[in-house]
Formats: sequence, C-alpha cells, structure tokens
Amino acid sequence: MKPYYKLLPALLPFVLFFAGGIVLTVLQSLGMMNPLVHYTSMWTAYKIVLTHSHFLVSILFSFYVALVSSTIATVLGTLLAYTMWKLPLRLHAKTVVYKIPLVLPHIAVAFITMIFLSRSGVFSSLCYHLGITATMEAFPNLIFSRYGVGEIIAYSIKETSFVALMAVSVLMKFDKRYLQTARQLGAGEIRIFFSVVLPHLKETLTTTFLILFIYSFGAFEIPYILGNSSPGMLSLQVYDYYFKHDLSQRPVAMALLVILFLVSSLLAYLYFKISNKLDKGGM
Amino acid sequence: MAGLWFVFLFPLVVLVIYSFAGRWTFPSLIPDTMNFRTLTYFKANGYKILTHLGSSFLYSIVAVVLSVFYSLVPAEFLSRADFKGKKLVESLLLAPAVLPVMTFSVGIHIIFIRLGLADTHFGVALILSVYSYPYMLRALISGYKTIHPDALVCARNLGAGFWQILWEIEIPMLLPALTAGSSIVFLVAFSDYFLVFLIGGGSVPSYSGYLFPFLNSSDWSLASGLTLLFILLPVLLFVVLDLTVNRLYRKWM
Repeated sequence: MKPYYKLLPALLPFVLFFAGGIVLTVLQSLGMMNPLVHYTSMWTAYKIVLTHSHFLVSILFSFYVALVSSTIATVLGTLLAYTMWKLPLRLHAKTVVYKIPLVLPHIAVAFITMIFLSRSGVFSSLCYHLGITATMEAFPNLIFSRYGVGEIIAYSIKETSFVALMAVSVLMKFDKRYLQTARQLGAGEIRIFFSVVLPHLKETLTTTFLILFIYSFGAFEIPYILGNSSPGMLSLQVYDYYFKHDLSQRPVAMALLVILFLVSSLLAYLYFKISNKLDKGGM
Repeated sequence: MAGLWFVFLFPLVVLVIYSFAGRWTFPSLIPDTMNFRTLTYFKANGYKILTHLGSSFLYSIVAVVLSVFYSLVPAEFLSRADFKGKKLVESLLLAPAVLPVMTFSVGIHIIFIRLGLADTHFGVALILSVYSYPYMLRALISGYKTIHPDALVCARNLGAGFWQILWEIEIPMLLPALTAGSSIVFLVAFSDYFLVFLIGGGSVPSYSGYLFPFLNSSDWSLASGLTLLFILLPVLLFVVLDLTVNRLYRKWM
C-alpha cells in the first residue's frame, strides 16, 4: 500500500476550493442558493443564455480574441526564440531583456498598450509626424474597437515572451549541428526552419498555444481595461451579470461560467494529454 | 541585439518619460512641459501608497506560505512513487492554474461571505493560493527529482536522522525549486486584480486596486509613475532572491 495520504495537503485547496467552487457555480447556475430566483425550470438561466444572441456573440468574440492573440504570440515567440538561439553563445546572457513582459502584471500591460495605441498615444503622434495621418481623428480607434485590437495586442505582448521562453528551453537541448548538416545537404534558411527546427518544437508550441488560448479566453483584467462592452468578451458579461444586475440575474452569470468552464476543460484535457506524453518521451 | 533591447525597454522608457511629463498633448513626440508632480504626489500620499503595497505584499507572502504547505509533501510523494493514474492525479492537481479563475472563484464567493472570509486578508490569500499553488507543486516535483533516493539511504546508513536529512540534504537541494516556485506564486498573487477585488471587496487594500482607477483616468503621468512602482517590487524581489540564493550556494558547495 502506497502512502496515498501524502497527497492530502494538496487535496485541500483542490477539492474544497477549486472543485467545490465549480460545483457551487453549477448549483447557482441552476437557480439554487439564491432566494430571489423563482425560475419555473432548473435550466432557465441556460435558456436565457442560448436564446439571447448577444451572449453567443460574446462567446464567439472571446474565441476570436483568444485565437488571434495566441496565434500571433506563437508565431512571434517562435521567431524570437529562434533568432536568439542562433546568436553566438556569449550573447545569450544579454537576451534576458525579452523576459520583461513575463513579470509585468496584466493591468500594467493593458496600460502600456493604451499609451501606445490610443488616438492621443505614441503611435498616433508618430503617424502624424510621418505624414500618415493629418488629425488625431484620422488615427483608427484601436482601443475599445469592435475588432478587439487593443485586447489582442495586449495579450500578444504579454504572451510572445512566454512562447519564446518555452521555445528557447527546448532549442537549448537541440544540437546545432543538425543545422550545419541540413545546410551542407543544400537546404536554404527557410527550409531549415520549417523542416528541421519547427518539427522539433511542434509539441511544445501546441501545449503553449493551448495554455495561452485558455487564459485569454477566460481572463478578466485586460478586457476590463481595454475592451468594448459590446460585444464584450465573455468575462465582461459575467462581471456585468454578477455585479451590475440585481441578484435574481446571477444564475445567468453562473451559466456563462459553466460554459466557460466546459470549453476550457476540453482544451485543458488536450493540453495535459500532449504534455504528459512529452514528459514521458523526454525522460 | 540592439533591436531586442529597444523593443522590450522602449515601453518602460515611455512610462518613465510620462511620469515626469507635465503637459503632453497630441501630436508632440516629447512632453510639452516637464515637472515632478508624480514625485510630489508620491511624497504627499506616501503613507497611503505604502499601506497598499504592504497589504499586497502581506497577502502575497501568505499565499506563498500556503502553497508551500499544500505542495511540499505531495510533491515528494509524486516525484518518487509510481502508480496507476499518477499522470491523471498530477494533471488534476495542476488544473487550477490552467482553468480560468473566474469559474471557481465567483461560485465560491457566496460561501466566503457566509464564512466571514470575504473582505479579510486571509480570505484573499486563501483564494490566491488556490490557483497559484500548482506553480509551487510543479517546481517542487522537479526539485525532488534532483535528489537521488540513494543519497538519502546513504545519509541514513551514516546515522543521519529525519531532521538532519531534512535540514542538511533536502532543504538545500530543494532551495532552487523553492525559490523558483515562491517567486512565481508571489508574482501571480501580487499582480492579481480580479480575485482581490472579488474576495477583498474593497476592504482589503491592494496596490492593484489602488492603481486601477488611475489607469482608467486621463492622468497618464500619475498612472505611469504608479505603474512603475508596481513593477519595481517584483523585479527587485527577483534580483534579491537570485543573488542571495546564489551566494548561499557558493557557501555550501
């Protein structure tokens, strides 16, 4: 008999607070624990969510922002990692500056994005001086835009460094002589990247992408500072229905959270499946 | 290389310039006037700023301590035992860091209110530890893997007791993992805005909560200065931890 009781300390936060919290979310989405809810059926909150198109639009919008920002971050992060890795060894210590966004809090990243992208911001002024725009209004309204440009860029800034960090750690174990061999066999730089380096990074990039996608799909801070309320990301709708509407509307917020949980769990399942296989292969 | 430094440092440089900008209107590329209004503000509101920073520091440290408490023994077990379903258990225990925090925290809010944990420092530290302990667990699992089981057997054969093994072998060997885990948990807790807002409900002072209204205001100078202060503490902590741990190591080796 193995000492399974040794797992107990970690089960405390996991079972009591995490799993318990999700069970409470589900219960409240069914209209329970709330004296002001008098639904005719347990599923009323879900019916409200599924029959009002603005919720569906919100879910799709979150999906879109998460997809675009994670894709940008994965592409840029990989290129950044590859460029840094190809530098001579003595320069490697100096690349540490790329880690700055990793320690920046999300609300700080959101603020920096605002300074750079808003109509009175840095890029707008630059465009004016370069003769691209004639007035402040000629600069596109990127923050609070309908297309989620502000959110996408803020997430991309934060996440590119994360992708680079993960990719560099894999590349460090990769033998540079593969590149020389490929070059001797006549492969061009682009071909080397796509057929030698990229296949090696595939699993790590997939798992990193999944993590970033789940995060930007469900996080609150960046949309709260940079987002437009319509369509608005899913997390903003939850916030709205939990805090801004009266108590009887709370099951709607909970139903949205259950949907958020289901989508994220599905992706998290994929993540763990791939990363556990990676661990086994690596050992 | 210069490009890399430029891209990553430029935003911070802009924050510094903004902190000292007086009037900076479109489309000027440099501030129209400069002043030390931000520093004057810091001085005048020093007590308030320090209280909020201190409070954030406090609940973040408690979250770190809680995460060590949750993770230490399970990490030892998971790094050494091998059983069916181990991967599943490990994945489940790491899940709170992967899934959106809103999904469990908003649901549990009502219970925190009933138990009197809402609006308390401990409640905030508790909820922060729930989604940040996986970083500690993960770091400690890999930390324990660096300790060869034979080293412990050897120490026991040479007559070392439980405490001696813990103090002279396990803790020094685990220190890098412990430092790494603590730094991440601290950073995650210190940077958080939503959970502190939800569970702290405004009665637990937090620096992120203090900073927030400034970010949404039109006073970008003050917001920049306060943001720099926000970034400063985690960065400083990283540098200090890194230096002290490295020094300790040289002493031991």
